[in-house]
Amino acid sequence: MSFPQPATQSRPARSQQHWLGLMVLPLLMLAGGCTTITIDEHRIAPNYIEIDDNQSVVVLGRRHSSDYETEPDLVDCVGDVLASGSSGLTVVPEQKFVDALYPWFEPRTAPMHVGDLKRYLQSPEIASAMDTYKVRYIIWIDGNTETTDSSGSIGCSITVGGAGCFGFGTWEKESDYEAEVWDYQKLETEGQISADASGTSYMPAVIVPIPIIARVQTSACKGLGEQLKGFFANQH
Amino acid sequence: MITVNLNRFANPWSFRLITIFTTIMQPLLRCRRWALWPALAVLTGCTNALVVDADFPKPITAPIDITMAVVYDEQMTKFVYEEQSKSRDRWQIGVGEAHEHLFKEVFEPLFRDSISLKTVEEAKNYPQIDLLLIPKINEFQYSSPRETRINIYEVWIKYNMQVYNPDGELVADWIMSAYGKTPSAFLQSKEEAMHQAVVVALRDLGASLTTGFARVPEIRSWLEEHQASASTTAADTGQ
Repeated sequence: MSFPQPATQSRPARSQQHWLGLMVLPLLMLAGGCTTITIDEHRIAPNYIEIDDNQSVVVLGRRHSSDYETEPDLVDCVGDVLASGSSGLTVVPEQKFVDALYPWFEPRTAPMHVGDLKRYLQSPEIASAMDTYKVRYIIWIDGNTETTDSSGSIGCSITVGGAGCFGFGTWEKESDYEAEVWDYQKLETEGQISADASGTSYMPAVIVPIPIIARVQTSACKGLGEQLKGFFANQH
Repeated sequence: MITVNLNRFANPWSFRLITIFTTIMQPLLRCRRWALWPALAVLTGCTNALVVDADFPKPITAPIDITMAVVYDEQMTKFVYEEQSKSRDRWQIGVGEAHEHLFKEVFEPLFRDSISLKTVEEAKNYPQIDLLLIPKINEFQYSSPRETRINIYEVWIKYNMQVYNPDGELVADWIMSAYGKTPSAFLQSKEEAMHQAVVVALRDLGASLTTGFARVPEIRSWLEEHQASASTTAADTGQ
């Protein structure tokens, strides 16, 4: 009677397993947690928004609230989505525009309603600066992403024999953004879009903590950007 | 082993930092070599020092038709905020040079001519001066995420602005404030976040000066009188 021999691994095979582990670890770290996103659209213009090839849009973040700020990276991200692809729009970078129009788009001075733009454009200096960028639409984004809940515990220790962590942590993030499209030529609001996203991230720790991050802000950015792009979709 | 309850921390980055901290602290807590503790005290007792240095855009505005002299004295140009409270983080923030830089960028387009002076006495060398401005920093305050539980650094700066006519008479004396905050502080170092908040506050000051200087009641009255006087002189010259 013969028994099956226990499987043995040669030294190179163990080494391969070791490298496989090292490759899987970053993949696990990149693995996303669950994210859900809800987009609401309120379109005032009955059809798609008209924009010529030589016209541009600018995406700006609202910064007037005392307890949060619309993140500059979210604003950049939405701008990148609008500019991407064959039907991409010409997007003026936020900081470049705000610097060029200083101090009229600072947190304290930025127009809150599309009607306020009329007052600004009475100044020939401001009107001329706006014309330089051939801006047709101003897209305002207001909101932020915040951590709403977290739980769990992780403990770490270092001993002579080595170091390690053990435990489990989880946290929830929520994004809540609203975008408003202003027509600079007609001086009226063309539409509004709101994007709500939420997701839970996890961090199990067995010797090494492995974060499984829900990319809530990125999801909100992509959802908002694609929906905004849809406003202009048939023009190219 | 030290464990951290995540419910106490709204920000997951906080517990990551605490995890790292406990990892470092663990051997020290067990350590009998007390000589290590002074080293730890030095590490944790560091002062956050920064000198604000930034480029500011020139404002878009129609120039006020006067020659303005601005005095940048040492109180202004060498202003360094030092946190005195022992219960707060130690901060040393140099904002003087940044103020001078901002004022020069803002006043150049705001007035027909602007002249930079280091002392009030130097004004005697410039007979064309219509008004003399002496800006002073009265107060500097900040709040950090540790204090507010919001991932935002905030900065408030209070100023005293005094404007004199060429005869040395006080024309206007008013208080201004500037406010700046920076988001996502957890993504940057404390110094970077504070720097950004100060820069936003300085931009806010520039915005207030550009949009509000001519609206200060005493300045507005003086400008109206100056304009009327200039018109009369021009009419007399024309006759």
